[in-house]
Amino acid sequence: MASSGVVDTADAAPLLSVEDLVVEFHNREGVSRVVDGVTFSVGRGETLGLLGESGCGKTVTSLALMRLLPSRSGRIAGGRLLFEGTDLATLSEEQMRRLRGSAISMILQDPLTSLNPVFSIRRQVVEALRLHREAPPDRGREKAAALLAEMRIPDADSRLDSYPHQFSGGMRQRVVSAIALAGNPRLLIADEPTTSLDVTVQAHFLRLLREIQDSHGLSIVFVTHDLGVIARICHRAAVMYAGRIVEEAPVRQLFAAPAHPYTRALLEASPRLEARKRPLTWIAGQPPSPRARPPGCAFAPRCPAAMERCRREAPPEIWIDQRHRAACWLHANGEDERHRDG
Amino acid sequence: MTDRPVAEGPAAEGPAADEPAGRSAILVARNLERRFDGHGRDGGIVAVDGVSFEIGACETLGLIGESGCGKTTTAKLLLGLDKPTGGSVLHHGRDVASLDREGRRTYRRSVQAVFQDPQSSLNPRMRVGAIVREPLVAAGGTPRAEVRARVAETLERVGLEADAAHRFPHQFSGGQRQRIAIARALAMRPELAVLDEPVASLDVSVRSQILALLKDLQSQFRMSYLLISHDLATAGHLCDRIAVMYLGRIVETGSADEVYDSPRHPFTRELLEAARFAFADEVDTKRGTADETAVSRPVTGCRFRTRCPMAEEICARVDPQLHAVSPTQQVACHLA
Repeated sequence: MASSGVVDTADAAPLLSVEDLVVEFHNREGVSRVVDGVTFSVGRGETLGLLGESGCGKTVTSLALMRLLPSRSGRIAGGRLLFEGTDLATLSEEQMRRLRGSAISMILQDPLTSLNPVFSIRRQVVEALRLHREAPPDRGREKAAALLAEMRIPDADSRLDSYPHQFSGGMRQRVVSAIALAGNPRLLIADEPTTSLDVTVQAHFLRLLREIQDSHGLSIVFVTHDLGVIARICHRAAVMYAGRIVEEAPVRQLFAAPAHPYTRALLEASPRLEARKRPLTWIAGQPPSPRARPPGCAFAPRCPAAMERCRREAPPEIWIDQRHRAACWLHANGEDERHRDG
Repeated sequence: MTDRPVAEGPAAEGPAADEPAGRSAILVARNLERRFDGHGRDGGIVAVDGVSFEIGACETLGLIGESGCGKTTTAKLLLGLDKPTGGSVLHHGRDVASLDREGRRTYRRSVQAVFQDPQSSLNPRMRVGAIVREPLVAAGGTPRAEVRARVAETLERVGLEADAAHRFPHQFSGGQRQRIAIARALAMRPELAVLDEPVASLDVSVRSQILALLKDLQSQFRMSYLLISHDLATAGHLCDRIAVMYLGRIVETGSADEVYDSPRHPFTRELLEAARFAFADEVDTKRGTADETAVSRPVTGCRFRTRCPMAEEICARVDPQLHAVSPTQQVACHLA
């Protein structure tokens, strides 16, 4: 069932479609709705960016996709996670385990903690290959070397016997990616994989990831807080705020014509080369905690364009065009306005 | 000899010969070298290999490079956390290595540091007030009543509320924690603050807030900064001058305008390209420099040649030295 060709049209059946996902965490103080009705889809061969600040629910969303929420405190409280038509939320742990690595894989921020320091690179890559039955016993080393070479690790064969600490940060992330791709997954979830890397190393890694994506027809959900990274890797991006998606659009459109005041503020606040002499701006205040979200739009208290209505009523999702949506009252058309106000 | 850190403090000795006249440098690094000896097969490494620069009053110098280029080692040498194996650090013209006890004390007071990750640079068991007070008390010389007032004032200046002093670091957000780290350095009223990736661990939306705070504090307190970073995008908002490091050497230095608008070294151009806002289809995958796996320390010639898209025959033979391409810009490249 491996997907081969890259399908670029938005209308083709998506590989992954998340519908109204709700994730809740329980602790002594009660229930926190960390992800509060998130809907998005990812096409084959497409990269979707999930953009947001710490605490917006982007990592929890990605963990929910892998069904890796902490089992004692977190749970998927609603919605569907349709992967190739199957709802991941309803699978048993055993069924889910068979999908991890072979259908959906994940790479995380810190490659050093994803690798075992006491085992050689060879052992860790071969382990992944064996697990996914991608290498017969006598060809493990050869296959592992080929996989590392594909990730552009020079002298792959001779470096197989190295240990993680002998690799640089960028090289470790390539090893981690090689392990993640060992089972030929269709979907890769990348949670801030370049955040701990130098900008130069990051640029090269992103370029490599795009090449791998093209040759494998891989779909990627890329989680990050960095707009520059979103621009370099994603086809489309969804902006998250306080557990919800507030805007989604193809990247160029998102950067050229952001519709949500939050997206606009994030863009203006990002330190940028070409704006180094412009005065710095930022978003005053802090996002609300999941247990103290305001009744209307969660961004209203920080929003420069907030109206009376924003503080009362949560904004609906409004489609600005076929591929661009924003949850903001500013885009409600007059008709809707009149209807609502009676 | 207790010259308190005043911005216009005259140099005790004559300024370095290569120093531009009319401006007294607070700190001069002269031909700094830090060699780490290897064990057995490992032949050792020269992490900082003949680095020279100076930092003037109220200016920000950016020391920019990738991990492992020696920028943090250089900072440690300036902060006195490590000793150079060659070269010297001059504070107002005096060699820091030859200072007496009292001189070292003054020096330590006047040079402070803010590190990347406030999560690990702040003691989780100490209240914020104690964290900010500690260096003041350790350095001595400040009466107790004044210490209390100084802590309160400093917390206010970095934008924290008065009751912050009674709370613990974990009760703050990442951006606020970095404010605490800044307050700790600022409490000493230093002449120079070494900022080692001060915003790298923060969310994008908080980064510009902290950068603006640093800028503001600089003009209020007339401090100089040495900013250490791998990211020219964030450095651009703060720096007056830039020094780009590659494998232990400065390969290009100049005013921020020169380095950003007319970079001469291919590595500087790569740093700019990586920090630029670019969409995937604008990134040229065919041209450009080789990735970090091509880093090596060639025995001969230019250190960057293994990654350089322009390398010629001379680059393998002759080690390029810094040469002036303008009164303020220098570059170590045969082709520049």
